[in-house]
Amino acid sequence: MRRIAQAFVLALVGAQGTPALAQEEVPWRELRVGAIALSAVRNAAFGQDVSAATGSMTGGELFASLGGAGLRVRVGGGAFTEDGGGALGDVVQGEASLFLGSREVALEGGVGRRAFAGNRSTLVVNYSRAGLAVTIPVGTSGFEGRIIGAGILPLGSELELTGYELETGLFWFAKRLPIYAALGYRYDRVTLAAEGAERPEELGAAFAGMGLSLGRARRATAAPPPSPAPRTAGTDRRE
Amino acid sequence: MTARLPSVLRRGAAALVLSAICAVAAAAQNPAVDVLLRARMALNDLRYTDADSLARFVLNVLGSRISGEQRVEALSIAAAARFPEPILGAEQYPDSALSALRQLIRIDPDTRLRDEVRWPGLDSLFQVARTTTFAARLSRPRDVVLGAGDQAVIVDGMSTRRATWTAELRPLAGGTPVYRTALEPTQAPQLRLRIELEGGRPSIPTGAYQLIVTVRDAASADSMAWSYRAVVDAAPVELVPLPGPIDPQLFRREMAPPARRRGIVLGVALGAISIAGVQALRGSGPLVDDGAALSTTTAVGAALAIGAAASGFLDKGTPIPGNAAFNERLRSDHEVARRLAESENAQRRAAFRATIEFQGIPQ
Repeated sequence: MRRIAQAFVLALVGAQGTPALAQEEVPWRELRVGAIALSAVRNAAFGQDVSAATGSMTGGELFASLGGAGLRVRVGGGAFTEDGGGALGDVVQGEASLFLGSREVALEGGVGRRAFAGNRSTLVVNYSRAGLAVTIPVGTSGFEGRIIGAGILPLGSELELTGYELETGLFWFAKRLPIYAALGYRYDRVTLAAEGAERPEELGAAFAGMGLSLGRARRATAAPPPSPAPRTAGTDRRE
Repeated sequence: MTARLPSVLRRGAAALVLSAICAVAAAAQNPAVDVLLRARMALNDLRYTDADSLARFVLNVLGSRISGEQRVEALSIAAAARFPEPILGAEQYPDSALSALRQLIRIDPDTRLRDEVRWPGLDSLFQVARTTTFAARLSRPRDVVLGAGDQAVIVDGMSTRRATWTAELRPLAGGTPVYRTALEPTQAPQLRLRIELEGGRPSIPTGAYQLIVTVRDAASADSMAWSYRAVVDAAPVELVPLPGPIDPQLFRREMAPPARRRGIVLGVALGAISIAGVQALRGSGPLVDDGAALSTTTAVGAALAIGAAASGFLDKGTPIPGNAAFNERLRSDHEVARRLAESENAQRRAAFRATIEFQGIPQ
């Protein structure tokens, strides 16, 4: 499965056509500030009791990159009010992640903190995350697809949060204005553990976002530096 | 001294004998000298008929062996004998004398009557002949050294009336002329020779030629022609081949094709991961068999798939600066190579020299 996924990612990133159209390394400089809104369904289990709630979350995202590194900070929160059970409550979450690599493929590592205030308890948990972010631009259309897969690991708190996260999104960057818009889907599957008790939960959310994007270098493809050999066609002619 | 005297006498006697033998031999070789002498004496003795007969003999019988100077003298004597001063009952034949004078002028348009034959009546007749006779003269062709594209005057001449002059250089071995020039009607022509390099080959290759100069009177259609032998030394110039057009296959495309396939692939990927990937990650026994969540996932995944696939059709193609630079450098290098070759060829052309020498007397 992992090999298939690797091959799939490589195929996506390398789907540029002929070798003469190989990617040119352009500086990865970008500053993006935007707002994001999620429409989510949250399912949580308390022992044998499984409950579901729907709600919405809003937040903001800051992303800055320079050279081969990028930093992303995301904060957001919302309330799950519908339905009922243990899934009801307010959620506040903040994350900071570092990306290393290129605009197309980057390794992600970061830390986060999440608080959930439900009708039964208030839980605050720290966690770390590590994953891979793949970005596939579509020529000069301004569109690019993004796929992020990350694992969630415990980070120094009484509660331990483990799981994984998958996010897919389609971004559109205007050519003449420094704005962008995004549409995507995010799925979290985590398990909260404390004193031997485990509490699995999942979150599936459609999200939309928009904001400002500055310093985005125009994407270009090119061949390696030329060194043309003097070769001509046809018959030689003399003066 | 006394011993040497007989030797001096012997040598003087030998010289006299030798000169006498030479004179006899010359007279035997060129009898025109003797006949012209006798014609001149007859003219001085007022024996005009004899003088005319002797001059006719030189012109008609010995004509092919006499020099131009002898021909001029014979014609002068003939004209004077046919149109003598009207004294002592001498008979005059002006038409016949005019014919001889015209031939005289035809040989040399600038000729003048010798003083010993002149008298006012003959001078008047000579002027009539000069004004009614077409004649032309040509200088001996000059040897020249020409570079590529150079031209030089090789012959000049004159004619008594405006005439059309042409010159052509024809291979002695036969064939079409390698050079031809024609002048507008003139009385003082300057015929030029020009040589060109055509692909390194001189327009007048090395070889032996015949220069033929023709003059034609525009009024009377009378014409004259001269012929000289010419030797041309013009080695071909080895030129550097110029680079041909650039092989079109060497150019790289400067604009990537629209990323339609890429958009479709991305759409499939986003849709598949959003729908199937998430369903797979939920694993066995989802927390809740939530149809609403599944429909949301499917809807968003489908939207992402359609959006990404459609985005590929919005792409107009991506410029490829590196390939454009490559092509520009390819053109630049080709231009440099072309200019270098042209510069080298210009130097070789400048070093080209052709020598043209004319030999012999006009034929």
